[in-house]
Amino acid sequence: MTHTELINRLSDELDLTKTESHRLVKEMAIEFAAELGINSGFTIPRLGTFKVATKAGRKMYSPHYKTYIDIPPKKAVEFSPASVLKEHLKFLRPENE
Amino acid sequence: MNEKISYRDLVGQISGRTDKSRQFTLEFMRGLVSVIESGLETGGSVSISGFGKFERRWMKQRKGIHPGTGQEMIIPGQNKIVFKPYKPLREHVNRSFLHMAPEIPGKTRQVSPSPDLTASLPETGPGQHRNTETAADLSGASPDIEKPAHSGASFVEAFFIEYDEEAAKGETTDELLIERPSPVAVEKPDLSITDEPFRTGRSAGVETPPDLTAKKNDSGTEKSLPADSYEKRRGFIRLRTAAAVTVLLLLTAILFVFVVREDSAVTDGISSNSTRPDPLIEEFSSGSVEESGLMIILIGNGQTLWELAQNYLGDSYLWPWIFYLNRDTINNPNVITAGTNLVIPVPAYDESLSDDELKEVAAGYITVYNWYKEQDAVNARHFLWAAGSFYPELLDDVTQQVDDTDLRFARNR
Repeated sequence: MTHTELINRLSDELDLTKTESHRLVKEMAIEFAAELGINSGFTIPRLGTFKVATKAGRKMYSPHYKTYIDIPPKKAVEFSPASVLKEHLKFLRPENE
Repeated sequence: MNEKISYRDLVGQISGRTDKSRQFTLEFMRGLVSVIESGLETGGSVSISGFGKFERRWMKQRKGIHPGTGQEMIIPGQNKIVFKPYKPLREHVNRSFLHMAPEIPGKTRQVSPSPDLTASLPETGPGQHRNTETAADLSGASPDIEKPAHSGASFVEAFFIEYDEEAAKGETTDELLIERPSPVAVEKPDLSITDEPFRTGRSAGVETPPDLTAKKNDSGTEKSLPADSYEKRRGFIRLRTAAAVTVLLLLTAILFVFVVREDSAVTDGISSNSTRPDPLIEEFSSGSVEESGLMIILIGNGQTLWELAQNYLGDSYLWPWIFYLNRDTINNPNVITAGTNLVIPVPAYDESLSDDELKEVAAGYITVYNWYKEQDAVNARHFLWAAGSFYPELLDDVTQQVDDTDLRFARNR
């Protein structure tokens, strides 16, 4: 489902205009991103938990430079789905099987 | 990093941002979750622009070992829900680590004065500063080189004086050559290549047949032996190498003058004045350097401020500095037009930028903030925060001109 399809479905279900639902989704995404930038995460019921984890810096061999280079630490967004969602979709077979 | 934010607070913040009631926002979130769920059920993936993508991945059936009993068991195929954050989110979350880039050991520009240090930036803007540093590095790198005897004269000058003397007298100038400092080139990094052939000339002298060295050792305390063939030969090799290098330098400098400025200075270039290269090189530099610390470049196709900052300043995140210096030329910091001339700052080759430079970078970020504010962008406040991170005092000066909430965000972040 693309972003456009999501907007269309959302505006159908909630009886909103497409512009309005687009704006709401956009603002929501911005707020989510801002929260992940400041706090360590949040949980959305029935969807899952978003967390920010810090990955430690490390050394890696660079085949290009033929030497070990320092990889700086970084932060990664982690998502763990809610158990309701997980169980609901767990044994749903892929379409091509 | 703070703790997790509760769903209640999150909904409150979203409703504040969207100017909707809390109840509406709750319903909206519920609707969104159900749409995402049905999207995952039917399509397999749901994408939210600028945020990320939810995907349903089928994990095949596999064998596993029960950790408790140690028995082999079959884990049935099942779906896994994964979330892949898009680039804006990844970059936003990683803001605190943005200044850190992968470092290649032994490739830092401060440690070794590699030739490309001078070659990469031929337009020596604040040239004096960099030259002295290179000089320090060079002398530090080769401590065995003798101190300059004629401290005032450049290598080229010294060479020409001696060459003329030799031509007049018709005899070798061994003593002068021995005492002549090889690293006179430290005065000008452009001439530092003369150091290399000079040293090879010396090493060639060391690798002479043993009988010659023996002869030299036999001579002992007797200082100058003008008739000594070895000394003569060594002096001659040095003279020739130095002459070749100097002529090459002169030719290059003259060529530069032809290319850059089609002036009348051509005829003067032929005369063998020993101080010739210095003014020529300076003239060439001044062709592309407008004033000290600035440089004008022509924008090519596909270039961006980000890329220019990476190439010329060594750090992509200094791009607002370029924008600040060219704020009359550039209207939109995201778009620069090919064919326009832009002023690029040439920072001194230090580990860190000076206070004035940091202030200019911060001013650049504030300019970008103002631009985004005009476009009603919500994320404009982040540029204010960036300005504060470069030069916090500047935020106090602009309190009247910026939004209060943005200022609070920039200070408390």
